Amino acid sequence: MEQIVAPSKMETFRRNLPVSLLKIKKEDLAASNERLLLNGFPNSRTEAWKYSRLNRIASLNLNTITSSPISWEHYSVTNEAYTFVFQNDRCIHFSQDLPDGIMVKEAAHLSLEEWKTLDINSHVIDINKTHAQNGLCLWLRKGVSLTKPVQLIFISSGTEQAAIHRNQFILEKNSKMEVIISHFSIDGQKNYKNIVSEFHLEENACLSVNKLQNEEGEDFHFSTENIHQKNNSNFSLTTLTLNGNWVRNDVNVFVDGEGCETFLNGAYLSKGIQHIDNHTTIDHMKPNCNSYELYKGVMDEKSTAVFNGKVFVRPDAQKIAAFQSNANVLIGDEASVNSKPELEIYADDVKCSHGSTIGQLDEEAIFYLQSRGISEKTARRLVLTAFMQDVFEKITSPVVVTFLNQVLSKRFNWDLSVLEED
Amino acid sequence: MITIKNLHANIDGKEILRGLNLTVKAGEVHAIMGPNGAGKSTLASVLAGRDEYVITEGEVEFQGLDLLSLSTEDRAREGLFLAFQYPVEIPGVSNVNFLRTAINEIRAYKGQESLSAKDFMSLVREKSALVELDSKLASRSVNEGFSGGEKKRNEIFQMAMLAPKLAILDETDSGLDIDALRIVAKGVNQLKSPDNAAIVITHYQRLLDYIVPDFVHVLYKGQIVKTGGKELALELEEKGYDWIKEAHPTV
Repeated sequence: MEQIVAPSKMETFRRNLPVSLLKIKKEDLAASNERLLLNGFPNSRTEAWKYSRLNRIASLNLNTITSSPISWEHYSVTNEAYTFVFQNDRCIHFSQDLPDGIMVKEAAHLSLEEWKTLDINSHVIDINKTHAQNGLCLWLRKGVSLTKPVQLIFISSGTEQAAIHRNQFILEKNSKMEVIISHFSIDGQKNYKNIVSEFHLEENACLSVNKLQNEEGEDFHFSTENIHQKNNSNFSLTTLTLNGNWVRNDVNVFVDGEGCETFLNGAYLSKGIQHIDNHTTIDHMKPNCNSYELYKGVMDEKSTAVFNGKVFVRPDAQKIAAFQSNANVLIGDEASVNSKPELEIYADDVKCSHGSTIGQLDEEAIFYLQSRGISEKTARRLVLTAFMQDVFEKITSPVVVTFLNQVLSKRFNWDLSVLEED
Repeated sequence: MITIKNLHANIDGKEILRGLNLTVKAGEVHAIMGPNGAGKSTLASVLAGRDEYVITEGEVEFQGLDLLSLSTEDRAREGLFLAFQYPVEIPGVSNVNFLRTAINEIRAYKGQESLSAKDFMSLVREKSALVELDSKLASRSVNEGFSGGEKKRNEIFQMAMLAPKLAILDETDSGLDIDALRIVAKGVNQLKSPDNAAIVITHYQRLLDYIVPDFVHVLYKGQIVKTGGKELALELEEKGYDWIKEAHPTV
């Protein structure tokens, strides 16, 4: 329950934000406005925000001014993709060269009837609903299998800029695609990014999403992914948080069909005073489904992380196999993590497991490697890379693996290829 | 090869080594025996560079270098090798990739070029055959899921790959059955040359049937209290350590 603390803070926060340019049902908008007015920002007594304080965000003085032009090509993870680029509040590149069977629109051009909004609320989604400027909406037609990925790039620049977007992906029956969503920041100072993406998978649809967060600077980042799965659909999301000042990821999966598979993988690596929060919910509404969730993190220096993973199995959802694991290594003396796995099972014929570990690097292993002539630095890198390896090896997109390699070697001096050879 | 003079070391304020002296020359095999708690494993740890131990006195010269001033990795790069009593499992790090990293870091230290993947793999095949280590084990994670015998064979395999000047075998025989013991000993004997040396630390005489030492030292209360030839090991096996303890009550 979100409590009333200081609604005026929320009003001040929203004061300079433009109203939403999207066509959203009047009653939905009114409900969001009312909740924001009534509840304001959640405080630390609100369980979902207990470890992610919003004070610094609430006091931002946001605006949307015309941003200086940037060249985005440098930030493209791959050229072999249908690419859509957003800088702060606007779309700066919209791929026109699309094959048959796929339809795209800017979110601002969608009609009321074309929105297919899931019923889920949070102050983040409410702010998004009431202030979203644009986004990508995509329909993949029945039976279509895309050979190239769709790439969305969100770049923030400037100071105290708001980038609020809403994406919608509809995958019709038997369709298949891959999406790469990447986030960057160019000299970002206290920018606020709030991206909500909804994925609707119809029967037998297959979607793989790789989300890459690699923001320099001091931005505040909120990502929300809401997923609805129908019978025999397959959804996988890999969240790689490699850089970012303050990052909150909310993933909500409604497994509303039988025979579905759901994969949530996450890797987070933090330094300095960064804060990375992953909240996930998998709601098994129907029987005969599998879900696998694996999140791993390495926290250095004074950085902090949060993992909260909920798995619900509803009363009639029998024969569910749900696996969840969160493992953390603290390499900084002042780093910390709060990990909370939650299972709520109301069916009796299910196989569910969860686990959470927080540890430090095995110094005995480091010494062993050093005693074979390996420098301490390389030894630490080898052991850490090995720790993250089972998340990394679930990435099926070669271009994402290449990107990951580049960032890891540049930012952390890691070399994944050491583990791949031979 | 190595000269240890008046070495004193403690851990958590407790003195373990109390003025140890030992000289090992190239081509020699030295056995160090002694009762539990004598300081045998401490000696191995101190020489390898484990930093929990505080050295309060003494010096160690290794091939003309001040060993104690070198980092653990530099000691290895200069040719010191420790076969662990309890080899560490490192999930996710494969045996061969870690060895290739090690060999190439050692080569870089010596100003040599990296070993090619092909040359490296043929070295792996040659040396794993030496200790009858299944080539599948060579590509698995370091020691993960290995039996006790496999772990010890893996230590000797690594030793063969790195070709050290001085090998220190810390109770390599503990937990080994007779067949594994024979294989490990065979590996050690085949690596023996006039240019290198070995210090074999053991609690029992058994291993010394297979690895024949030139000298046997008895370590007791942090000092070497008796030195002899290989027959000293047999005498210890027969009489136990009590007569040593009685002869040195005040050490």
